Amino acid sequence: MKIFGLDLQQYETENKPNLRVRDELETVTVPTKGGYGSSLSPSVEIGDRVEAGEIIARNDDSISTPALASLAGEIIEIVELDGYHEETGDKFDAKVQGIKIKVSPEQSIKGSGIEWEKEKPKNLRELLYLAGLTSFGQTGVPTEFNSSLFSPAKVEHLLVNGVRTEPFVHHLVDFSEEFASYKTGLEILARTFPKSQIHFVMDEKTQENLKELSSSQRIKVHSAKNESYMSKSKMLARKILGREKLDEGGYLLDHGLLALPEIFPLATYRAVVEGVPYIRRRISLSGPATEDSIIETPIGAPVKYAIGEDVKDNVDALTIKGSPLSGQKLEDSEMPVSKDMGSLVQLTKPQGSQFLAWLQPGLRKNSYTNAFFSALAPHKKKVADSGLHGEERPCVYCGWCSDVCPVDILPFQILKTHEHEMIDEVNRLQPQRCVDCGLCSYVCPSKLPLSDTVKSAKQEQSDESHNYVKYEENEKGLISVITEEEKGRGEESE
Amino acid sequence: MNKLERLLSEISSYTEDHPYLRYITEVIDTIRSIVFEPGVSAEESPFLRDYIEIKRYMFAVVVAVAPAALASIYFYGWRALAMIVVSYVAGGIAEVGFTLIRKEEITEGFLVTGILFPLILPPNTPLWMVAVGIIIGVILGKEVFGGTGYNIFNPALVGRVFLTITFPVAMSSEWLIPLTGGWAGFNQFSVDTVTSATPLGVFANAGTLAPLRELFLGNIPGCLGESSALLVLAGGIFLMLARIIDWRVPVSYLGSVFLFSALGMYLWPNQVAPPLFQLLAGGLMFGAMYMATDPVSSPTTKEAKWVYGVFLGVMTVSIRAFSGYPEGVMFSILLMNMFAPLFDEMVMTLRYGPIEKPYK
Repeated sequence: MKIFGLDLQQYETENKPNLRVRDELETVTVPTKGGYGSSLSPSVEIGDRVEAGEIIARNDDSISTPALASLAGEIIEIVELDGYHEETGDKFDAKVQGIKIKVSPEQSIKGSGIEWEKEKPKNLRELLYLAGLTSFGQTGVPTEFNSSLFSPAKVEHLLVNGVRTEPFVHHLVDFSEEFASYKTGLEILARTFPKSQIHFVMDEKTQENLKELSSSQRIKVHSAKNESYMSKSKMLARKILGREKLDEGGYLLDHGLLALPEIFPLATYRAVVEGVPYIRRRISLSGPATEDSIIETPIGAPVKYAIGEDVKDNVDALTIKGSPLSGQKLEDSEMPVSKDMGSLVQLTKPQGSQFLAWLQPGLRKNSYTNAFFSALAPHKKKVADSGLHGEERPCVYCGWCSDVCPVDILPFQILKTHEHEMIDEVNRLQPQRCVDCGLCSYVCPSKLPLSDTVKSAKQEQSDESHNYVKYEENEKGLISVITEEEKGRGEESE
Repeated sequence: MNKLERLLSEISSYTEDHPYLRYITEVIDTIRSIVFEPGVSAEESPFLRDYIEIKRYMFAVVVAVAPAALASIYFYGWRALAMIVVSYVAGGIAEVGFTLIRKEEITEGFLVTGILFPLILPPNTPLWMVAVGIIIGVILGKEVFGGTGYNIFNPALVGRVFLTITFPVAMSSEWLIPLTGGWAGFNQFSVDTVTSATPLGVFANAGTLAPLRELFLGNIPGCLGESSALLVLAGGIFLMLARIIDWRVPVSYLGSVFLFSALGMYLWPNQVAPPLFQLLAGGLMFGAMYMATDPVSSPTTKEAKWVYGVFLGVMTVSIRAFSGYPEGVMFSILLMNMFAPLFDEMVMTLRYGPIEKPYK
């Protein structure tokens, strides 16, 4: 509860979502790209039989991670996935192929675990690559293969982001039941990147329930305060690396930090200890238009199927990939579930026009200002919909966007200078600090596209700013140039 | 309610194609959007948005100033209300006319200017003068710069300064003595008891101070809205708590008036009035709460707001003490409005460094 400040924890939502496994499928369409990396050409042909977990697309020459069959069956079609957009904003071509598999009735996963304590880090990294796990993170997980722009030696800090503070986004890991495996996963990661410091960050709320996890020499446990922007890895990176470094811009790994999602240690545990590659995805489903749940489904299942019939009857809903503050609209619900689809939020659309909305008391309307009666009842649960709640107007310089900004930038100034293409002025305002939290657009009373503008200003600037890594384009795709010297460094510690 | 909405949209679709009536389509659309908030979804991220919007933002100021406006009726009779109505009507026509000619959207900023302007006028200002002032304020103070959000000066103060310079007698030589007790002004249309000076004027001429209690409660001659420092302060605190205005500007403005008048009283005892008198007399409280805090014409960065407030205080005390005008709030706010972008620029240079021009 906050009287002064932005409280986004007060929306009506269920606290404990149910886990629902959805795997009765006839076909799955596995995308050849998921997360960071170029899209691949299939290495299988129509009519081939594949096992669950078998590699069906791989190219060790381009920056990529193999695509795996998520269920056993027969390849029946190779399709172009039009409009299959990724949120990574990387440089790779958006054209992605999908490999359609007719699922056979009997399913089994071959493969067995290994004794990871004795394994060389290099072999563990190879295992992650073959398990399809290396496309996570901002620029992929570095291995001896071309899975990232960077080499494994570059990883000085490894950050596992277990912070879930944005509204309508649940934890994907049930820490009360899966804690032992999760902890082992973190230990495996510590061995996989022997020269790096592992940081595990959780939100305060989760930390209370996770008292038994304490910092060790290799694994440092941090807690982040309950602010929506703390769920951004870049924000956590600023705390761990210091802000001056990140204000320079560039990728996180330019500064030696590999940030990975919450699910990664668990997936690592599955791949290494149980021998199950990354072929199933967990998705948090939440929002007023649906029932809160954690869905577990094979990668490549249509999103529509994964969600199921859970959109409440007669509700016009908007489905968002990612969080409602920084995610993207899901345009086509037939699209397959991708490797990096972490959460879906279904918000109801506003129901027609509202009579004198600006005069209503607004007892359950959330606002940064205290101009609604909800300010007098801070504990009352707030309503949420996808409405703009107003119309676009010229900026009145209220300054709220810069007040809420966690990284001290002036979004309205960036908007003004960007709209007049004053490039030097835009760059001076340091848009590269932005962590994409979306709060500036959230609070704007003039409903201006602030966060979008800052994002594009950042994008335009970024081409110049990360010259740390050399990459070049050839006929095989985008290739990073890693010197032999750098490749060797990862092995020193054994 | 659906019927009304449908009717409005039918009228607007009819006028759209009409050879002459098409000019008022914008007006009808504006009325419709004021009455019925269109339930549109956010098109880009974030999809969750704050419920605050410009109409409510502006309306909050009107709510905050309402007690002072009601008090002006209590003190000066229903003529005060007539002044507010004239201001809204004349200013509204100027605003709508200008935006129609310029083919721009009608915005809500006028909601605030329309009520603040009459409250900073002397209570016996002729109604036609109110109309002239608000029209000048809206057009020369705001619309010529591009409308709400683009103005350099506070539009209400532009109108006020125009009247002060053009009609100096009406604006500064005759003041009314407010009514008190019982129903006071609620029972009559206007007040006739005339006096020659406000407390600040009396101090400038004779060096005598009005009692602080009267100044605080409002039993003193002055402009319509500024009589009662108590009600103005209450409205300002409401706005600060509601976060509509930033607390830094009023706090630094009033604080610096207090400090510099204390200092000035020590150095020039005959010219500078004591701090508490300065705070409560004249338009300072009103200016600090409603005029200096206008987000468009004041600085936007926090640091610049402090600087702005301090400069405002120094200017106000200086004008009150050393110029021919007994009151200096209006001039100091207008002058500092000019410096607001400069202060912001200085803060940005300190925070982010100077602009680098690689291709110069």
